[in-house]
Amino acid sequence: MDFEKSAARVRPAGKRKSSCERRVSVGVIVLALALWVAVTESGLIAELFLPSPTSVIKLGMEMWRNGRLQANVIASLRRIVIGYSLGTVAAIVIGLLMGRYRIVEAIIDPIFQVCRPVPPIAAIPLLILWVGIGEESKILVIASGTFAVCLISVITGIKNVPRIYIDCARILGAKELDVFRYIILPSAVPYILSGMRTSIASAFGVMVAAELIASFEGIGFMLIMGKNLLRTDMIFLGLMLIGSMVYASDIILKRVENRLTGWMERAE
Amino acid sequence: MMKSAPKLTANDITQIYKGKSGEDVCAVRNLSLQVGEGEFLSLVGPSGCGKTTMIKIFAGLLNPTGGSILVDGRDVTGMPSRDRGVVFQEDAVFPWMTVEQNIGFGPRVNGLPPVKVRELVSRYVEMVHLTGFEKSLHKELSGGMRKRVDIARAYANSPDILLMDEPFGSLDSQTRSRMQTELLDIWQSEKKTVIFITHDLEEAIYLSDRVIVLTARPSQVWAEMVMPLDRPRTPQLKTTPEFVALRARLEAQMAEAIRAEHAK
Repeated sequence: MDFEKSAARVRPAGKRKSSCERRVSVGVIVLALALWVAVTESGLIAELFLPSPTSVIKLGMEMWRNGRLQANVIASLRRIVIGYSLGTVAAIVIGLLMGRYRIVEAIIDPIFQVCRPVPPIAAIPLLILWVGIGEESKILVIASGTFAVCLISVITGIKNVPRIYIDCARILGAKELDVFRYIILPSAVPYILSGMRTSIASAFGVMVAAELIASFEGIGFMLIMGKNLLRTDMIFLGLMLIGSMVYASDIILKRVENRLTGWMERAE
Repeated sequence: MMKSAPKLTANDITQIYKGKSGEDVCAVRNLSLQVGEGEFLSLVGPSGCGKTTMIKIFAGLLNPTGGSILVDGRDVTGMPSRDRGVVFQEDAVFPWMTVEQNIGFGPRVNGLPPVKVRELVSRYVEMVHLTGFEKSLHKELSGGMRKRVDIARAYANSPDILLMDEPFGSLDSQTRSRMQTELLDIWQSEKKTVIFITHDLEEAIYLSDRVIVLTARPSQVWAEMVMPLDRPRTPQLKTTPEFVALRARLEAQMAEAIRAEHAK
């Protein structure tokens, strides 16, 4: 408890120290925005190449009013939530088994190694052919992109569980399922979460690619429409939205990580 | 020494493993010993004499190349179970669990009702003087406190036999001395069978009913000494002439064991 108090006292002091650099960083952002406004509002650069911030905001408000903005965001969010969850759960379950049982690894690993060099995006045409152009193909490709990145972290995590913890649990009477639930899984959580944080970015990338290829809704759809209609402001709005989504998801995962790995000893 | 039938019997244990260049290395050879019910037995020996290997074999975590382990006459070779608790040399507190979750782990996975688990936890938290630290995590505990969690966790599972592999090896001498007294207190009140591994002769004499001296690599029983000291024992005992004499005798045995090994 005392430790927490002293940490709270130290942090503001640390902040003050870096306040100079912080000001410079904020300054750069403000300057970039100002430059953007200047070159666009003055007509120096044509609206077709670089829309002004005001026109992007205007478009955003207009799309908000007619509901298109929300519809696109929700369509993309839905895909990412379902696809990412499926991929992550599959990676955890299969990774646990592969990490714990050599025979499972011997069966799955060769298949995984053969498929791994193929970028998930490259499989989109095939998936469309197999399961159709609807949601299924997009969710499936997001899931497989997530799975491929996450699986390796999960396996590494399982293999790094210190032997002594498993021995202790078994001596205390834990059955195999208890060992999984109380020892292997929690011990591997830091690895699993770092895998989840790496895979979320690739999941978004795969999702946008899938939407660019074939969709009627979503951020990727907005981007491709912007190109087709020569609405650069729509492309910018789409880029900002996807950027915010990735940023927000990373913050959420970081929070989850801090909560679940609070037991770890960290170098301050 | 043995009043009744032995609690644990090690029968002709041999452990051979493959060395770096593929040659057979014999860690333990034809080792046999017996521990009586409620007895406190220490195994001492030069470092590298395969003591940790022995503990793992006793616990059933390691299947020996030859020989068997019997508990109450039943063959339990290579079968770990809750009747044999282990306190390892390394710190083995589960770092993602609190002190009380660690101590309650055994009872919980063995299906005891939550009320009973809580009862056991509070009893053993108190016994190892960790009251107030129930919700603490591994990273918030000192080395001595972690060791006490390890011991309490092993005890709370109420094993018949407690196997301890140099449990106090990493502690400073003050904490170590306090932990020894605490261990004797706990042992006295619950009368478990203990097999205690150490390279500290004073510790072995102070704690045990009987001490077995092992030779190094391959491990074999070299000598056996009964410690005819009254109980309960207190740290003052360590300075009595009787204790000092026992210590000298044990030291001589140990020196001989090492000489015998060099002569091999």
